[in-house]
Amino acid sequence: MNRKLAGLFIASLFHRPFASLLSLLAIALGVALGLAVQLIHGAALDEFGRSARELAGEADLQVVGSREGFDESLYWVLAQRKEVSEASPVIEVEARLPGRDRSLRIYGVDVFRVVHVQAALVPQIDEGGDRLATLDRDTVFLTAAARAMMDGREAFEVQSGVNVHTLRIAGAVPGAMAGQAYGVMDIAAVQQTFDHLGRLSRIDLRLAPGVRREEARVTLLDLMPPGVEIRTPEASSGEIMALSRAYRVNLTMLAAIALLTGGFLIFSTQWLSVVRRRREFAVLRALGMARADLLRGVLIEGGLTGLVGGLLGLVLGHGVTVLAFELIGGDLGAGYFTDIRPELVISPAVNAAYLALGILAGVAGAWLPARDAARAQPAVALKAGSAEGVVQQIGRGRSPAVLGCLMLAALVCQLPPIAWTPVGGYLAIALVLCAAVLVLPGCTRFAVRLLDFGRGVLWRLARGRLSAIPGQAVVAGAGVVTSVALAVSMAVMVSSFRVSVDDWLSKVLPADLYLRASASSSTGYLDASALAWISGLPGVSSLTPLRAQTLRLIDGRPPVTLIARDVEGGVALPLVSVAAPEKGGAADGEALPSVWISETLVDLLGLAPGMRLDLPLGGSRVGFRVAGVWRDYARQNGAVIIERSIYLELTRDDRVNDVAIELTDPGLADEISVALRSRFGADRIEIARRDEIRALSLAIFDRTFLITYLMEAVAILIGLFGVAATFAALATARRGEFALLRHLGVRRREIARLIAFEGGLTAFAGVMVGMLAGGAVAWILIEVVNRQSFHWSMDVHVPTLGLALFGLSMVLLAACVAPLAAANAMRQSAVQAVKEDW
Amino acid sequence: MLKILQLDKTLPGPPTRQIFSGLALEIAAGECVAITGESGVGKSTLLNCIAGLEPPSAGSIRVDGTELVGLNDDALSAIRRQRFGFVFQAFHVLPHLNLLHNVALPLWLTGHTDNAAEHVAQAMLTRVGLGQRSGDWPSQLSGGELQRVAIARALVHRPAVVLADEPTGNLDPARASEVLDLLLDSIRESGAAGLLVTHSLQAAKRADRILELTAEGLVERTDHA
Repeated sequence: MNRKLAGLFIASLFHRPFASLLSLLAIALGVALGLAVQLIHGAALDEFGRSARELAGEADLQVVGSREGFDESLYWVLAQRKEVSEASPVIEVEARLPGRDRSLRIYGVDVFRVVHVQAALVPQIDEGGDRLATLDRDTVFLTAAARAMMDGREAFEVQSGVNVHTLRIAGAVPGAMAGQAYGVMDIAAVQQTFDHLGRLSRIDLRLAPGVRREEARVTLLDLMPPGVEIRTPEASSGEIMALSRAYRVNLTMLAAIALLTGGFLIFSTQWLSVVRRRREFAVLRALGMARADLLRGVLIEGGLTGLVGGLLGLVLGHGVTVLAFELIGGDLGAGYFTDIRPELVISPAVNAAYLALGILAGVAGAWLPARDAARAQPAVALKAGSAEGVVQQIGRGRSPAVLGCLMLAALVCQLPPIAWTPVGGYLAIALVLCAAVLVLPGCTRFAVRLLDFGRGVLWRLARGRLSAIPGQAVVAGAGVVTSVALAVSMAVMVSSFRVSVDDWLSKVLPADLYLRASASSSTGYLDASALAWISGLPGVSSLTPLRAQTLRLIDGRPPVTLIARDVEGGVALPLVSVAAPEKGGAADGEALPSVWISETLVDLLGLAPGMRLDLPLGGSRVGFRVAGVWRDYARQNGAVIIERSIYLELTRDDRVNDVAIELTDPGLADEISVALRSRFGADRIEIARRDEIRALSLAIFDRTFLITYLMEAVAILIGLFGVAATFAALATARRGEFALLRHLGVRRREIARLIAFEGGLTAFAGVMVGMLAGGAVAWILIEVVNRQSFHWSMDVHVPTLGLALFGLSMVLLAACVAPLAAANAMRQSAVQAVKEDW
Repeated sequence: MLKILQLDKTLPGPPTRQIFSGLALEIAAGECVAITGESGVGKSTLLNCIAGLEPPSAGSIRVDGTELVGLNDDALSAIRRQRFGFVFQAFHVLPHLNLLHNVALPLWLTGHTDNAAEHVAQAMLTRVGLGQRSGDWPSQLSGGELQRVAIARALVHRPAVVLADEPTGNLDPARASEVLDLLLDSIRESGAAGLLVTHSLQAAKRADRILELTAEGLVERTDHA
């Protein structure tokens, strides 16, 4: 096709600037969102990987345990192995800083070993400092970022239990990456200060020359005590990738939806443009233009929209990435990558891929209209009423295709996740949306029959038109169906999730008051004497202490949380299933203790109530019987709960992170809080009432899902745009009809009412189908996508009143938008219009 | 039935252009008048002024004694519903209504009940020879048949005036003659005043009178018999 002819097609984009601009913006939004998610997480993961490699230094293998660590005797065993050239022990603690919101990670290292293995952890004494400061119990070496946190002070306090220790800053860690905030101390000092005597978190190994990594790993694996892994340093990057994968995939899906919407808008506007230009195309064909050239011309229009939208998207995507790095960090605020300062990397390959996606969305959206334009018979297209014919073709029933889509959707829902991604779920959503659009003509006819009341001539004309030409409903209503389905599905999912979280919170927060020495990962804790003191307080009725730990149960996945607390046989847990009562004892004659597992472990380990689960506790593997499965919205990586008495018996660890306090009178909460703060120090503990935690949790939930409400609003706008664009285009094609009605004595405002009825009816059919499709998509999101991504279930809750109001508003808005969009065509002279064929 | 006095039509400028001036015309009930003339002389404009779709610059148009000039759009719309019937060159039959409903449309607009409207429309379709096809859709009809539907629709509500603009322009000579007979006979039978605008002298000759619109005004032609 020569440039002149191509220009003929491209010029048409400028004849409909509003529609072209909206399509272009939707594509730009999709490309920008997808690219930003990819760039942000890619950069953060790269940075995290680099940071992990830096910290691992020259290590070939790493021995890692749970947060509580493992016995240091393993170090001596490994250090003497012939495969090992250097072994460097590390203890890692997340030191609570009293009175501050954040903690400080401190690595305890053997300064004589660390220089050979981990350059990033080698401390350097400040000029003029004591040469033996690295071995002092109360000295710490800080990276530049950590030092900046201390506001120029020479010492700071850290919390261990409810006690406070002062650490003196004696130097720097010059090998640390820029932006990394951590401290380095002598290993013995950390063990002593933070009450981790005899414990290690990690041992970094350099292998002897000629020893292969995998062979050494397999050999040394046998020496690992329960709960301790030996792995390559790269595996920790994989672990963090696994942690954030679901989050990334879901954000990418939002971007895909935006791209899909862009493609749909292009379909809608291109198709209407093709209908309007049918005679122009017929003339071109009559003048000798080949079908293929016509096809290419319309595809060029879509492709160009995609190209410009894609280019705009690339610029926007990079802008959003830079802003995100500045404002919310590399994990979009999800908390996966702390202390990571990622930088924007411009990758030509990634940019090219996203630009190609934008063009693809544009070309795909234009494909069907282009094919219709190329297939049209010029002689027929030149005749009156051909536009209606095209609309009627679109409205033909496609029941087998609808059934096929739905059956395939049901089938792909059964697929297991592929690479931890719910591919089947997403495919099923796309299939349901396809089926919804295909079923629209039939549903429109049904809706028209359903509304067979009212004798007003305009109402009858509107119903008559939609019944005879349901294709009009497909073009105008497809946008409504898609947007309503997306909005309804998100509303149902978020509502179900919120109601379930609310129920869950009331179940897991039964006590009047909650006391926390620190988050489970930090160094604050309460001991037996503190518990005894609290229980002796007047007004305290009972205490439920909770100890949180981590366990390594699944290779390549982040550790699972172990919670030790009194669970009253599971009664106090939000259980979703329980084991049948055990008949007799276990095979060895002794009943296994009970463990309650979160739903994540059911999915990841294939466990079920009644099955056996071995936990690495107290240096050995201990068998438990799965007594039930509980719902846990707090820990995505999985959690297990055992009775605290069993935990104490196995580990002798009597420290607790949280205490739930029941009061004799809830009105005493303030008084008890004052007493606790006075006893332990206001900056060393956190106290919250049940209602405060609940309100805070729900506020965080609402903030997290704010983006879905925004997307719903965007979806509604897109749906209304579909209605407006269709009616504007069809009104132009129907000028003759309106003119005839004017000849017959119909007033202009009555024609506007006719179009409003048609708009409302179209939206009504679209809303009906969209609601059903939205329900199905919500079910897929809840039962397949969420379950496979986050491994938690939820009770379905449909916000009936809200959805009814939403549907009604959509119908009314469509009824208002349609005549506004058609106003221009209606203003045309009735006299001129009847002169034209239509 | 229809009486026009001193009708002027000037298109606003600049420069202004006078289409016609001082036209006078009177058509009695049951009479059919044909207007011929060269292209651009203002035949269709005259028709539109009579129908209240274009305002004349001056003069008077009376239908059954009601003055149309100066009425607002609502009032003109109401008069068109009740007292006018239209037949167009391009038929303009609504594609999404079946034949019965197309013909019943003016009756719906004038507030007839469904049953009454459909009963009258069915009778009208029978009158134009399409009684057996009332459930058919416009896409199933030929050009001649579509114009029969349009004639039925123009007369179904017994209008005072029927305006036909080139009603046979899209038809072959045999169909054109047939349709014209039907149109004129129907107008005469219904007692309406019929005004036919056409280029075709053959068509015009079927009317009771022929007027030629020229720059000087409406001139009666006496050579048609």
